[in-house]
Formats: sequence, structure tokens, C-alpha cells
Amino acid sequence: MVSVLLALVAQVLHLVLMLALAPVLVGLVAWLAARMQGRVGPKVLQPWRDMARALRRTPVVAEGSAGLMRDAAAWRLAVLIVAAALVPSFARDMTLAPAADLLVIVGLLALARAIAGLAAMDEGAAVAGHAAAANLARASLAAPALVLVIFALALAAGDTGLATILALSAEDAPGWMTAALPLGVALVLVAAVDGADSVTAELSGGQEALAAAADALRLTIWLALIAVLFLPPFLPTHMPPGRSDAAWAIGDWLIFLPAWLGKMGLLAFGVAAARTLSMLPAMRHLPAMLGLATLLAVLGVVLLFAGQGLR
Amino acid sequence: MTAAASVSAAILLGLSVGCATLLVLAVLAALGGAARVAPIRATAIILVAIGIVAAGLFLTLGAVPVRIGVPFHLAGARPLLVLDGLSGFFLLALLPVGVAALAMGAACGGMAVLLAGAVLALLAGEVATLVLGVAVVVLAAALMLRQGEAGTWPLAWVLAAGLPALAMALSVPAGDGGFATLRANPPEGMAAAAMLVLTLAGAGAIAALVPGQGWLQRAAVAPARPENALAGALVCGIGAYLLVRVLFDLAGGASAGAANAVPAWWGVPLLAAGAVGSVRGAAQAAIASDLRAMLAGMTLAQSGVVALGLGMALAARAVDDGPAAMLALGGALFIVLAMGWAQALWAVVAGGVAKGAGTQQIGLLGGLAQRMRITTIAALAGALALAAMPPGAGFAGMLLLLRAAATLPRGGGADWWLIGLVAALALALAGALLGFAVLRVLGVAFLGRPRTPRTAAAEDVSPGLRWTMLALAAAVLGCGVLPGIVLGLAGPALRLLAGPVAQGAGPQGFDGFLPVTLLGLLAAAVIGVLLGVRALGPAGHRAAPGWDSGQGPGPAWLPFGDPATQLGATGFARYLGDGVRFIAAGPAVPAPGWLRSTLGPVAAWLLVMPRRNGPAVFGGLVLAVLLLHAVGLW
Repeated sequence: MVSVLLALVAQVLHLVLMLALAPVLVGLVAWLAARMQGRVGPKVLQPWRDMARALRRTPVVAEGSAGLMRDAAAWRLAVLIVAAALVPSFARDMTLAPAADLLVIVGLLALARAIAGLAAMDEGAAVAGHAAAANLARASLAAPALVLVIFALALAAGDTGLATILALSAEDAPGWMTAALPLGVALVLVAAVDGADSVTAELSGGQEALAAAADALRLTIWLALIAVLFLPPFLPTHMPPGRSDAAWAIGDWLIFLPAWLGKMGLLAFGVAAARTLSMLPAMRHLPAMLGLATLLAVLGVVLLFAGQGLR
Repeated sequence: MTAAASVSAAILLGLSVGCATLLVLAVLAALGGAARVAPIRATAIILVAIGIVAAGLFLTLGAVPVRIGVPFHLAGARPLLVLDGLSGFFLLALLPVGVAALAMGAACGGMAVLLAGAVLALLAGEVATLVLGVAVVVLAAALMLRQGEAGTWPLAWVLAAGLPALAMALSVPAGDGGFATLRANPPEGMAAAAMLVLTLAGAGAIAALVPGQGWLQRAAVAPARPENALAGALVCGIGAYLLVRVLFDLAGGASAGAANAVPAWWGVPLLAAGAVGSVRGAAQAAIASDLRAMLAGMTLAQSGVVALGLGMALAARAVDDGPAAMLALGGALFIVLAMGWAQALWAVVAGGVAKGAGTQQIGLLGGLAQRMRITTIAALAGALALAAMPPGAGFAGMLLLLRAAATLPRGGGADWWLIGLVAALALALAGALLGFAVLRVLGVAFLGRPRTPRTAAAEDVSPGLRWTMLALAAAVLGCGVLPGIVLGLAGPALRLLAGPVAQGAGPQGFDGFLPVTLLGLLAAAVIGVLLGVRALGPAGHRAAPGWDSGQGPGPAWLPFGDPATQLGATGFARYLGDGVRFIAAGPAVPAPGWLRSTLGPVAAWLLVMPRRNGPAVFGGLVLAVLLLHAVGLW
């Protein structure tokens, strides 16, 4: 009973933290990037303020629009919220942990992207349509690298479930560690391409706020995934047996939460540095980058085979 | 005889009677002329619908195998018709496609004959009946898909080479031709290899998987009726059934320990053909300018994905890898049913669009969501399944196959890793391109502004078709939300095919994939977000002229605005780049057009090449023989 309740508390805490943290993370990246370039930079909480301001405005809708996709921003955010609820962060054995499958999370990200693309096409304007088409095409070309990374993880761990995979990366088996480097880089490249741009040009009011929240949440989900898959210490694996009471769990959170926040901060620093150093690629280089990501993922699988890092 | 067995026997009897009735209906349709078609069509639809229910009932009751012998089980007489888990599952998967085709107004007589042939092929309990049924299917489809007065026959190659190859493959084993005899004495050594090659050539040609033999695409390009696309889908389904039935059931040796075990490399050609077919079909669907061509690409992609799964399953079963075999087989059968239904749904949608909006050119459509509400809802339901996104049916199938690919290499050598890697890559690319194709059609044809006056005045489908559409949409959504039920219906077939490894190796299947939970969470999240926005922000919205990227209002002679201000079908696909276009088109073949369009590029090239480069080919052949000889001597 206690453990069920604890799992629920952990789940709610995790989701609230993810939602609250997402805009802060975007603000942190912007602030860090500005500091690196010698500017003062916006406040870290600026995205929250922008969203609140947008939320207070009356949305403007294009005349003659079908209205079919009017709530698309809300649907997209909802899909991403479900994905965010499944990504592990700091708590062990959350309520939704049994449903946390890597393929499902990636599929939900694709669903959110599809909704955004359809909403952009519904505007019937060229700019949004081109951006949506480019976004969807890039995601299609990124799929081989992404699926190969998941394939390698599943191969090494024995399952696509995140609980199984976490147990693997927490254990740092030698065969796995060599393969993890190219796989991690491939996943970072895929994430960078996925976050390259978003289609929010024609939204206003509450829709704009929702779209901004969704973009922030997408970045947070990617960073949390990278943190949990490829940054080993303090991973929320299954609770060891005999430690299921509240004292253990809360003690755990006190250690794991700061560790997780530190990792996310580190990754935000990395994103800011990449942005400052212009390492984020120009649009025309994206296909080449995706090819590189696929090759790196294949390399990861080959290294995995060479090291026989199977469990 | 238990109750389930007697019900099953009654179902088999009913199915065979229904099959004969379909033939009678076809004759009536041919004799009666156009005036009498409507009642005949309605009768055929009801008959096939009853068949679907019967097949479902049979599978639910545990699929006790039943047989009808002619003449009535004399001593030594082989059973003519057999209904088991596999044939029941394929009946359930393929008959709804037939209902959709009939409801759309496909040539009634032709479709009735095709369906009768399909039922005969699925129920066949011996070789001659099977070949007869397949021949009826292919011939009926060839007649329905032939084009123009002096036009080409897209299925010419299947008729000329595929069917004979299939017949030869099934005549390789000795015996009286009954399936039980074949199972008991499967071929060995060279005979087994001959059977594999001939089956792959025959069933592969029927499933549109022989490389370069893209009869599906050729059937789609010429101006044929949109309904006939479903004839192609049905032929592909029968091809998949043949691959399963012959390679998994009749070729014997289900276990590595058996005397005449099927060697693991049998799966490799199937896997390769599946990888090529799935990616190629998906690429064609992604860049097609026409709804029919897009559907043809999707059918090819589905055929390829199924073959990919079967190849993995065959290899896994040969080394007694129970979990991988069950996952791969389960994924393949799941895709046959769920994606088959979803494609039938999209074919009905395409037919409705062709009729209601006057064209199937994706680039001429636009804004259909405002005029064709029901069709749009059906298209969205089908899209969720076809685009391989949760909680859609395509995602569930792909999940099973990807898990199979990741299970297969465990404990194997480099070759097994390569198989898993190739399968995962092909599945990822095919799934992603299919998603792109579906979203492109939704975005360009259904959303945005109309592109032509005809599209602006589009009308929704007729009430009769509307119910077909909604029923199919509900079924497709159901497959996605409750995939476990579909896998359960495939259970008898899986136990039949996977052999001894099925015992004790329950498929992990959909572990960790909880679509109902996901759906509940999604609904809760949508409601929460919408309520939150309503509570925090001002109510209502304000309408204003849309910002057209600075284009300004169009002139009076462009009532739907400047077409250049809206992204079209071709421009959308251009973002995929040249690589995908090359995959879709394939290498150019220097052969006359009529030869290519009748036989397909590879066969045409084989015919033309010796005449053009005779000496080189002859020299190459001599060299090859010498090399083989040298290797043999060494």
C-alpha cells in the first residue's frame, strides 16, 4: 500500500517537475548562451513570463480557416505531457514505469510532430507548409539512426523497456561502455535535428503559449532521455528488495533529485555551448548529419557485437 | 465430436457453400447486365460479411481444424478443403478488403470471382485446389486490372511465370498432394532448395515482391477505377498466405532437431526481398502524385514488411529461437490484418475522394476537411494506423517486428547480427516514410485551402459507403487500441506454424505497450490542457485576415488565392531529397517500353541484354562456369 502510494507521489512529483522545469531549461540555455557571448542575457524565468503574457491575450484566428486543427497546440502539448510522464528522471519505480517503453516514447514524440505538421498545413500558407514538410522529412530521415540506437539498447539489455535498459546502463558492463559513446553521439545528433526548428509562426494568444510550452517540453524530454540513457551515475533503477518503505524512498529522492538536476544543467550547458560555437548545423547540412548519425549508430551496434556486451 | 468442432465443421461447410454462391452471383452479374447489378452486389456483400463473422467465430472458438473430403472421406481420399487457424486468420484479414471493394462499386462479377478464388485458395487442403484457387484469384485480378483496349496486362508476369513456378514448387514433394502427406514427407537436400526457390519466385511474384516486377505500380498508373486497387491488395494478401503456408507449414521441419529441418538461410532471401520491397514501396508512397499510386506503394510496403517478418521468423524457428520466432510471426500476421484493413479504409477514402472531389491527383485537391467530414474522420483513423504512431495499429505491428529484430541476434554470430541490423534499418525507414506519405496526403489534400473549383465543391460520400467507412475505421482503431485481441486471434495460427518452439515460449508481445492506458492518459492530458487554457486565458477568439506571407489578396480570377502561396504535393515530397526518389524509381533499364511494362524491368533486361551485349554475357557465363569448376576442384 505504502509503495503504491509512494509510486504515485513520485509520478506526480516527476511530472510537475518536468512541466515546471521545461521553460526554465529553455531560459537557462538562452542565459548561458548569452553569457558565453559576453552579453547579460535574459532572465532564466523569461520563458515562463512570455508564456503567461501570451496566455492573457485573445487568440487571433485566420478568417476562413477550417478550424479542424484549432486545438492542435493543446493536443500536441498533451501528447508531449504523456511522453514526459514516461521518461524516468529521479524517482525509482514510478506508477507509469511499466508503460515506459523507449519505442512508445519515441512514437509519442513522432505523434506530437505529426500534429504540429498537420496544424501548419491547415493554415494553407506557404511558409508554414514548407517548414512542416521540411520538419517531417527530416524526422523520416532521422528514423533509421534513432531506431538503430534503440535496437542497440534493446539488444544489449534484452528489451525495449526503459526499466531493463536503465539496469544495463547503471551497471556499466565493459562491452556496453565502448558502444555507448557512438550511440550516445548518434542520439544527440538525432535530438539536435529534431529540435532544429518548430512551426509556431502563425499562432497567437493561448495557442502560442501552448506551442512554446510544447517546444520546451520536447527539449526537456530529449535531454532527460539522454541523461538517463548515457550519463550513468545515480540512475533510477528498480529499488533493491527490502527497501520499499517511505524513509528509503525519500532518502533516495534527496540524493537523486540534485543529481538529476545537475545532469540536466550540464546538458543545458552543452546545448548553450553548441549554440554559441555555431555547432548547430545549417539546414542544408542536416541530411549529412543524419547520415553521420546512422553511421555512428551502426558503429555502436558493431562495437556492441565486438564486445559482446549482452546480458 | 465437441461442440466447438461441430460449429467449426458447420462454418467450413457454410464457407464452401458461400464460395460456390459467389461464383453463381458472378455468373448472374455477367448475364444480367448493368440493371440487375445492385441486388447482386448487396447479396455478395452480405454473404462476405457473414463469412467474416464466421471466420471470427471460428478463431474465437479455438480454431479446431476441420476438413471436408471428396467423396466424403472414402478410404485414402485426401481432404479437399481444410479450415485451420491459419486459413481462418487470413479469411478474417482478407474478406473485409473484399467487402470494401464491393461496397465501393468495384466490378461486381470480377470481384465475386476473385473472392471465391481467394476463399478456395485459403481453404484448400491439397495442392491442386490451392493452385486452382490462386489461379482464379490472379486471373480475375488480371482481368480487372488490365488497362485500355490495346493496354497492357500488369499481371502478365504473374500469370506467365509466377503461377507455373508455384505449381512446380508444390509438385516437388512426392505423394498424392494432400497437405498432410506433404507435411509428413517434406523434401530434402536439392529438392528442398528447389522448392524454396520456386516458392519465392511464385508466391513472391504474386505478393509483388520479386524485385523489378512491380505489377502493383503498373496497375496503378494507367487510368483504372480506384476500387480496383483493392484487387491488387487482395492478390498481395494471397501471396503472403502462400509464403506462410508453403514455407512454414508444408515445407516441414519446424524444429532444428527434426530430420528434415528447414535450414536457417531459407529466411535470408525472404528477408532481403522484404527489406527492398518495404523501403521501396514506402518511398513510392511518399512521393506519389496520385492517390492510386500511393495506395499501390503502401500495399507493396506492407507486403515487404510482412515478408521481412516471415524471413526473421523462418530463420529464428530454424535455430529453435522460440521468442524471436513468435514475435516475428506474430508481427507479420498482425500487419497482414491490421495494415490490410487500414489500407482498405484508405482505398475507400480514395474512392470517395475520386467521386466527391473529381480527381485523385493529390496536388489538385485541398481543403477536403471542410466539405467531406466523414471521409476526413475515416482518413484520420486510417492514418493513425498506417503512420506507425501510438496508439495506432501500425505501431503495434512495427513494435512486434522491431522487438523480434532485437531478439534475433542474441547468442548468435555475426550473420545473425547483420540480419537483425538490416531488418531494423528497413523497418525504421519503411515506417518513417509511410508516416511521411500519410501525413503528406492529409496535409495537402484534406487540410488547407481548396486548390481547384471542383475541390471547393466536393461532396461527402453516399450514406451506404459512409457506414462501410465508419465500420472499417472503428475496426482499424480497435486493432490499435486492443492489439492483444488481434494477436489472440492469430494465436492458433502461431501455434500451428511456430512448431515445437511455440510450447513454453509465450511471446512477450505487447509487454510494456499499454495502448488503453496511453489513450486514457492522452484524453486526461488533452482535457487538462484545454481546461487550463480556458481557465487562465480570455474566452473566445478574434478572426482576422490570415497573413499570407506578405502575398496580399489574390486577383479576382484566382478565387482560391494564388496557388503558389500554398505548398503542393510535389513540393512537399521534395524535402525527402534525391535518395528517396532514386529508391522509389529504381535504376533505369534500357529496354522497350512495352516489354518493360508487361514483364517488368528485370525480365525485360534479361531478354534484351544478351542481344545487345551478347559476347560479354557469353564470356561472363563461361568465366562463371570456369570459376565454379575451379572452386569445386579445389
